Amino acid sequence: MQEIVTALANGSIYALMALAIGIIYSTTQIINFAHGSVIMIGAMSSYWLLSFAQMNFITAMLLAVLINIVLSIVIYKVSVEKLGDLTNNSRWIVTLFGAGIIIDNTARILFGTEPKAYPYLFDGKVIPIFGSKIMVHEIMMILVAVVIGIVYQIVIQKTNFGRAVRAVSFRPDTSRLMGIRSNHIVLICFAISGAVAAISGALIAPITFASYTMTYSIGIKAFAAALIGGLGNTKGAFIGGISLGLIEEIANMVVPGGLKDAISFLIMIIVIIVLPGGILSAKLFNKGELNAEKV
Amino acid sequence: MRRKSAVSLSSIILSMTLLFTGCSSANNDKAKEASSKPKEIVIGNIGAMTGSSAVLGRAQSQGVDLAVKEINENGGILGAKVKVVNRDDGADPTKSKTFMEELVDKEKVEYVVGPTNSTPAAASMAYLQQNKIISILPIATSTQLISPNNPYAFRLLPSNEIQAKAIVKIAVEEKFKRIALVADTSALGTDGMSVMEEAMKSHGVTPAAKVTYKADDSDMTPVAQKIKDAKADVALFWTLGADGAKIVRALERVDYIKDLEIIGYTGLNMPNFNELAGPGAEKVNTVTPGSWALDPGKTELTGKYWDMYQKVVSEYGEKAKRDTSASMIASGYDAVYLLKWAIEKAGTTDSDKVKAVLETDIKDFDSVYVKSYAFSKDSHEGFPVDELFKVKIGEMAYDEIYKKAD
Repeated sequence: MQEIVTALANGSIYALMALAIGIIYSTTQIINFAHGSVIMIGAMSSYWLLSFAQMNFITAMLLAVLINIVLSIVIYKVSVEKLGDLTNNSRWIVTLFGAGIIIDNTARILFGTEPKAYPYLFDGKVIPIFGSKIMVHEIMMILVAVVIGIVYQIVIQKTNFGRAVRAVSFRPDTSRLMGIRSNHIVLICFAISGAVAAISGALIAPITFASYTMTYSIGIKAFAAALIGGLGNTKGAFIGGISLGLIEEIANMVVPGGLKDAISFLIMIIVIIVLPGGILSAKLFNKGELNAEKV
Repeated sequence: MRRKSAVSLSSIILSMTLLFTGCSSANNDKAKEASSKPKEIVIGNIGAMTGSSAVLGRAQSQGVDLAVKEINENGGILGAKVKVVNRDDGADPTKSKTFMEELVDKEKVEYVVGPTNSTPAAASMAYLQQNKIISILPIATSTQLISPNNPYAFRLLPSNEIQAKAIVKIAVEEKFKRIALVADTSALGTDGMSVMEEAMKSHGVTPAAKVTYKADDSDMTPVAQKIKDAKADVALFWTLGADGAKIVRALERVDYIKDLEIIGYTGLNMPNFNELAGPGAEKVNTVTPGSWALDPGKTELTGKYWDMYQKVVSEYGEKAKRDTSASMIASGYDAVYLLKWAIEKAGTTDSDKVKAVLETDIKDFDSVYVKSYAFSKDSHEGFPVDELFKVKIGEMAYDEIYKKAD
């Protein structure tokens, strides 16, 4: 039971991170390599607001979300907007990696190198379920991820903004001709992605500890989850995240700890090669032909 | 035609050989002449003074500077002033190797203190050996640095091997029956696991479990579960602080921490370990040099070690102000005094004679870091296994001096 809950909790965080990567990918066709750093800033800033400004959790989280929204907008303005047509150049790879490194180094100077003990939700309360000790924090990780996923789906499917996102994802040029300000839509997607990153950071930080390197290990797994499920696809992000969480937990039981990631990534490669519903559904190799219904 | 070319080539090689041999013997004569009455003794001090390992390099430098200041105020070594040339390798092996070549070729250093980190030390060690430069390693701990391949290298801090021997010895002597070994899969962890296994073998004990994990992994529950499944009564941790703390938390979750004792190597120690590990930190111990740990009920170290601590505090301030470890400063300080003592005892700066003194007469050296270094012709590991003591992690006085268990 404990293994299943741990797999689902870890998988939910991978899913949230994959969702945030997908939100940006769906409208820009680029992968935000600075995303791990944005998550870290969400966690570090909320930690400092909780510990030093003595704020309550909700206020600290709201401010951390705000900080991340501003940071994501700055990343977009500085590292993406000026590059022009993103489907025809790959300079964004360097600018976004660069942005990530700058953010990490700044965080190291601001917050120091020592990992911090980030508080669990509900003070780390543990409840017994079927003889296993399950942390309420883990259950919250799953619930929060599911709620964010559902809310995002409703926004995408039922609102004008969602329709605009789908239009930009499907035919960026045509949507521009129809009066949709695609730059604004992309900017808002960056902001949403930053907000989701702040929440992911606060949920994962009690487990990884809050530090400027906290996403070095899990960041790559978010990309793996996004690829397994299908980049730019909300449901795919959740399928990819939960699958990766389960694969890791099973690998933990059958191979020595150091080989867990190798097994996970081997399975990721097989999935990407064998299942066209993964990476190919997002048309990574057929840029500009996204299926808007799959956002 | 071909024969003529071959003859000419042979003549050139012969002439060059004679020329270099001549130069070399002239240099050797000069070196011998200068070595008994040196005008100046140049020591290279190299380590990470910036970057994430900066506290190590700064601690070493503070120790070196303090010792050199005192030595020069008191007449130097063999009447010669001591000059220190500092280099910051930032824990980068490439930089370290380049700096070491520069120190030897351009700055003409005769002795080296450092590097502080193991990988840079490994990268630059060969050049020092080729040039017969005695290097004292006050901080780097990788087992491989001290070997017959590096005959001019001497280490002061307890190496990984010494630490592994110490924690295994403690576990065996305290009559634990089922010992689990825990290490990550990095080079450091693999080295640690291997030296712990060797130490276990020497005691005729088989580990109940060998548990490995990827460093910096977020979920340590499987590590804790494997320790629990093995029914271990003690776990020997070769883990860095944050990972160790995560495993302790995971052990609490799988409900096994109360049945377990943990003894970790010095890498486990970090300032906020107890905060990260939570209540389970109560069950965690580490090892520390006995001379730099407080005896039960005492507030001061014994004799010369307390004097040294006071000297560090008066020169560089309290722990919070200086950030560096007082015992590491003492180790850097010892490195320079060790060279002074060996050079004066040998009566020359000749590296082979100084090396021989370090190998044979070390018991006469008055250290401020250990009771007595253990160098011999067979081993250049200075730290004696018996001088490592078990202490409860986080139980410190003055934010840096461990308290020995009752």
